[in-house]
Amino acid sequence: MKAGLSTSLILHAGLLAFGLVSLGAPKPFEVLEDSIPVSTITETELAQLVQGDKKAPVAETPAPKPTIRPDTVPDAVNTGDNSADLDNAPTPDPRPREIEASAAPKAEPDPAPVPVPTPDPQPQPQARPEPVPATELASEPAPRQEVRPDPVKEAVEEAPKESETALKLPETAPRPTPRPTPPAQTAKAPDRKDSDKPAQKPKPATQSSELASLDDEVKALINQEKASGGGQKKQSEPAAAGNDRTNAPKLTRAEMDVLREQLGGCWSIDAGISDPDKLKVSVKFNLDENGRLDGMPEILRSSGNAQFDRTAVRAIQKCDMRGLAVPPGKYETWREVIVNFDPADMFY
Amino acid sequence: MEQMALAAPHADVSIWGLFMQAGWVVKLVMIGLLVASVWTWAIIVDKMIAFSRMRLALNRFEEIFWSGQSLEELYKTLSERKTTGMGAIFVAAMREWKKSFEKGARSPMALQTRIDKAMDLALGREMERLESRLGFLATVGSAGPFIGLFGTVVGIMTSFQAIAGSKSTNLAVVAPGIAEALLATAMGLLAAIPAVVAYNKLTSDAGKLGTRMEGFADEFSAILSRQIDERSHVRAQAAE
Repeated sequence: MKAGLSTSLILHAGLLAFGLVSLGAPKPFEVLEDSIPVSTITETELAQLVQGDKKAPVAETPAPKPTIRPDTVPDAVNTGDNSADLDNAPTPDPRPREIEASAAPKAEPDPAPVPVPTPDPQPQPQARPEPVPATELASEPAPRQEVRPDPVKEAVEEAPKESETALKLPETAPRPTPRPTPPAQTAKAPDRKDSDKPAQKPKPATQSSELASLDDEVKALINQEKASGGGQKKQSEPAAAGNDRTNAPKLTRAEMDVLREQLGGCWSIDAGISDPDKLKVSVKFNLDENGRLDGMPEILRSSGNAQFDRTAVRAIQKCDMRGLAVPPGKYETWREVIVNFDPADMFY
Repeated sequence: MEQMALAAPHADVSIWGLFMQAGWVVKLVMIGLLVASVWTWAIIVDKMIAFSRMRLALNRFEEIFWSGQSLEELYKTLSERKTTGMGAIFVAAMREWKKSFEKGARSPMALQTRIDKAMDLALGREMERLESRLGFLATVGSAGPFIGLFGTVVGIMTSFQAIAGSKSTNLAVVAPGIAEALLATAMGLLAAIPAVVAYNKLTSDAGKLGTRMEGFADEFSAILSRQIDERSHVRAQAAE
């Protein structure tokens, strides 16, 4: 046993010594360090980097982000970063002004339908909401209609008659009786005045009824009310070069592979085409935001074989029917897709 | 220990460096495996020598036994020195034979069984001597990888704990701890592979030697049985 043990010990000692010497620290891998400059940026900085005008020249420094708080411009009508103000409806005025203007035309349509042949010269009843018989109120339009033509002479003749009728009418109703008296007096006075008065008064009333909407518009135009903030705020610096839709401008290789694989799966070349390996067609197609085909695929570079070109178009349509899976949130990148259909490349 | 190793990315990755960086559990496992490997090889060497000697002894004994030499003379020469293998079986059988005849055995059948028993005993003793310590080889062969694996698991566990502490996942930080842990498995395999190979070879060799000895025991038993028959026949004739 001693012989065995000593032999074993010698063997192990030799092996360990050999191992420690020859199997010492292995040579470290020589790694070619290709340094990639990396800088960490915040989310807002990223948005600034890629959000901007597509056609803007690439500047050294990105345009600063516009201030968030809108400045109050007294004359501005609308808000936003427009260069000029747009005709937007003003904010509604809570004050009762409008109600006054619209009150006059409202009162008229009601009495209008009541046809009273007898013209009433009385100017009194204009804004009276009394429960007086409608005949009295109805008298209003009557003189207007007559006055319009304004035959003064006729009015002079009729005036006394009217005053008489006016006197008679009050008898039926107890209230109005005292009222007619002053007009009765005026009736004594030269008739022109009487006729003139109703003539002048109704005129603005009719105009206002006809031009009620116009009046509103004018009011809106000369609205001096304070606009609802913002407006006419322009940025002095131009927008930075970038994309106007998204801030993820590139498809990753994996996402491209996914697209290619899908299209490759839909693509089948007709058996009748000779030498398909040498043909190559470039097709452009647009996708909407849901990833559906938008319009017909367009052949950018034909392979020279119309039948072959059709296979590519059919592949795209077939994939569209199945539902093309596109990476979400990168619409800008796959809005317009150009695919090179090359049999050597598509089939692995 | 690991903390330091992980903190320094360019740690010593030589085998000795790895061993020194390891935790005490891993170190213990590695030392244990080294000792087991040493003992395994000691047994292997010892058994190889013993088996080749035994084979030589068997060959020589068979040569002498079948040379036509008188069994009495052979017994005289062999009983004076230490014998192994077939010699021991022969001596045991002859001793029983002699004792029985010196005292004047009555029943030949009882004598036959007594001689067989004595030879069986001698054979069992010889086989036990041949196969001793082979069990250790089997144990190392089956348990060695597991012990090494245990060291590795503990090493990787502590190394990951250290990584969690250092808050860096740089491979240069992670690698030394894992390499050090894997060293334990390497040592376990280093001890286990020779043990398994040697165990298989040595058991089959011991089996071969055992059958050879059993064959001799059977043969010698047959010879003795014939002798007993002859003697009892002679005695019966003499009695008549």
